[in-house]
Amino acid sequence: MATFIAMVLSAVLTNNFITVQTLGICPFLGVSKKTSSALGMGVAVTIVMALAAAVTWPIYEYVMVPLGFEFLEIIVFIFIIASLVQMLEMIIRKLSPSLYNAMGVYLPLITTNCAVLGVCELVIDESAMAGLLGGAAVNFGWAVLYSLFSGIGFTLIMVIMSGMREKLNHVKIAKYMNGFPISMVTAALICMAFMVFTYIA
Amino acid sequence: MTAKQFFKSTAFKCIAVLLSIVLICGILLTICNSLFYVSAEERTARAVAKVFPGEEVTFEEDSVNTRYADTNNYTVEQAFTMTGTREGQYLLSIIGKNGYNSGTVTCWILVDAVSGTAADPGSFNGISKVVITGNEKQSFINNIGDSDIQAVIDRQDEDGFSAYSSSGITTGATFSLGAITNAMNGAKTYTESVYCGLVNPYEEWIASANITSATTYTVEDGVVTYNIVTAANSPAASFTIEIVVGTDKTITSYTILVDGTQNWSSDAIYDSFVGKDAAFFAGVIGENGEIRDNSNFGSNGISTGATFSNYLCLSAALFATANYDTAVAEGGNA
Amino acid sequence: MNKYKKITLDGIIFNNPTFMLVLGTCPTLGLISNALSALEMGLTVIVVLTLSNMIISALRNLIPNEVRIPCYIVVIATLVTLIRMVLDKFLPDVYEALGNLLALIVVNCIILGRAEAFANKHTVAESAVDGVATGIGFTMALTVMGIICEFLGKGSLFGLQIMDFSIGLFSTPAGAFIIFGLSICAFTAIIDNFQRAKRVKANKLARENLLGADEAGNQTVEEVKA
Repeated sequence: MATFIAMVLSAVLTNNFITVQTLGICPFLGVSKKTSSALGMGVAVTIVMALAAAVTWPIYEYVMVPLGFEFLEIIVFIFIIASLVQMLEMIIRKLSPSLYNAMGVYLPLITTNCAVLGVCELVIDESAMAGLLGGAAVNFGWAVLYSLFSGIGFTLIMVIMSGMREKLNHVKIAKYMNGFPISMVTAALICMAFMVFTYIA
Repeated sequence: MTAKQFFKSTAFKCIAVLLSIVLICGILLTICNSLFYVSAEERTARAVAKVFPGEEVTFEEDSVNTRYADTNNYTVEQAFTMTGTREGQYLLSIIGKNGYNSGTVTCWILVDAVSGTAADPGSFNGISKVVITGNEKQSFINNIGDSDIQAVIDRQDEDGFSAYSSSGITTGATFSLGAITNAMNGAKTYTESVYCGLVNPYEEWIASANITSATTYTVEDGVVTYNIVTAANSPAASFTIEIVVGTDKTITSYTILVDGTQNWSSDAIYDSFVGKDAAFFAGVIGENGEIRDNSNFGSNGISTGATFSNYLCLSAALFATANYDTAVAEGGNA
Repeated sequence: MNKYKKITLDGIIFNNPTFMLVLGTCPTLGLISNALSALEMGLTVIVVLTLSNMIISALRNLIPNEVRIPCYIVVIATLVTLIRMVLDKFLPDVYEALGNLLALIVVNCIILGRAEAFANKHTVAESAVDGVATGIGFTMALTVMGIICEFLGKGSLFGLQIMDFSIGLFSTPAGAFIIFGLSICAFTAIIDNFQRAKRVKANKLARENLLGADEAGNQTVEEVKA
């Protein structure tokens, strides 16, 4: 239980993908203009992250390592992620057209979201995971849970960012600061706020 | 769709092109992997080379002795015996624990030591190099300079290394330096135990306070023959005593081989040890070999005027009898 | 040759991947607190980008449109794996400094973006030039920001301590975001003003020509504009 709490805090707050590891910045800056779209993107990324880790971890541990094919990890992982995204898109389109309309546009973007590949690379790194889990050995469950909560942390920052950007719409901003520059300074403020969490772990 | 149509269709072309690209890439990578593969030995050699910039070194990797490798303060990950120009040095890859934020510092520590065995112990002669290779959660570790680490290295006393500010070392990264110091003390303990033979193999045994690691024993048919080398108990010097303990856990023979007294002891008294068991000796000097009360000696009929020597001889006798079961279980080490 | 000059200028300045297109932000933010790592990352990206552009351009008539993205990804992933192997074997220090970000070059939008937007429509030579130029644009942006960030954060340049001060904020992602944002702002302002000045100058020139032409009486306005 203690490991679980430590893992959740680490994944969501202290090792947040956006504010600490600076991964997944493209969708963070690109799709955070409106809260609804930010939430949709966040949920989609969370699902893909958990699924991707659930597929890549066993394949890496039980197939690639015994066969000595570790060097193919990048190709295999990116292929799995791309296929997962494609599959998810088809399933959602079939099962719930309304959800597809809400989320569909973000799905193809997820393949090139480095947070997804990043989390797959992270959970197979035993020493890094031992640090994050407080020494507990990584197994399938931890790998998937860690990915899931990393995705939740990602969604949290997306929603906070979109809230701030919606407020920014009502403000007059200097010409060259408008757009990406002001978003980045906003992001910096969020990062600073989240740095506080580093001290609780 | 006929087979012919299928082979002409876009779908077939897509699959064929994608598969052939994947196949070519896979084969290319497999070839390159065998060309560029970095073996575990090469990785180790590379890590060791980083500790000795601009220097060709030779070494042998030792398997880590797990009994001394892992404590609350440090974990020894890899151990090397240096050979060639750096003969007489040992290199340890060691993680110091209990740093800032409960984090750790990983370092390579090069120690100078004379190797030895339990019978002929060597010595630990200090640390000549500490190279920090990694850390976990040590936000302020950059505040630690080489001079700070050198200051800790120079501050070695019989208890080991110490880094806290009472010793005058202020870095702004007290806890990180503490973790490094833990690693250095770990390197000292590990080297002394594993390479120098300085560890007392009887540490865990009963009443071993005055028994040195030079002590040996043999077991034959349930009869344990000890060759006990005691510590000195100034003014008495070290004794070497041969004690035979029989199957009834009493002393059957007690012979002083090297006498450390000032010629005051009496063989008659030591002869009276024969036939006594652990309970008797514990009644005289206490279960852990401490001196309870000098008057205990007299009331048990031991009064020689050579109290300190008596104490050592009694300690040896208590050790021999009280550890009979352990000795039989271990099966001897001579 | 003018075509190559235009591709080069576009890649480095007018379509600078970092400042103008704001692509490849993750490695940028992850590495700009250390100028040396930033430079190493930039050089790695130049190699991968040039090779991937050339290969994809060479295969552009072979790859069916429907599966082009998976094909590009496989080619890029292979190149990244290769470069990881080479770095691990011959430059282990660089390999360690870049860490996991090396694997994430696969999903660096710059590389896939150039494949999709340029390489599959142009010749191998043009794609190679574009790859080098875009890579240089990325490297320069990363290194410049790296120098600023490292100096403010640690008082050092490329690992050499030159001043004894440090502002911890600039060693964290927050500082990286601030420097990145302000750099984009400054870069766009400079380019914008430069282009406006050029336009003003061109207009002035055109007007003078027009006046001269009117005086000469044998040139039309259309001809001057052309």
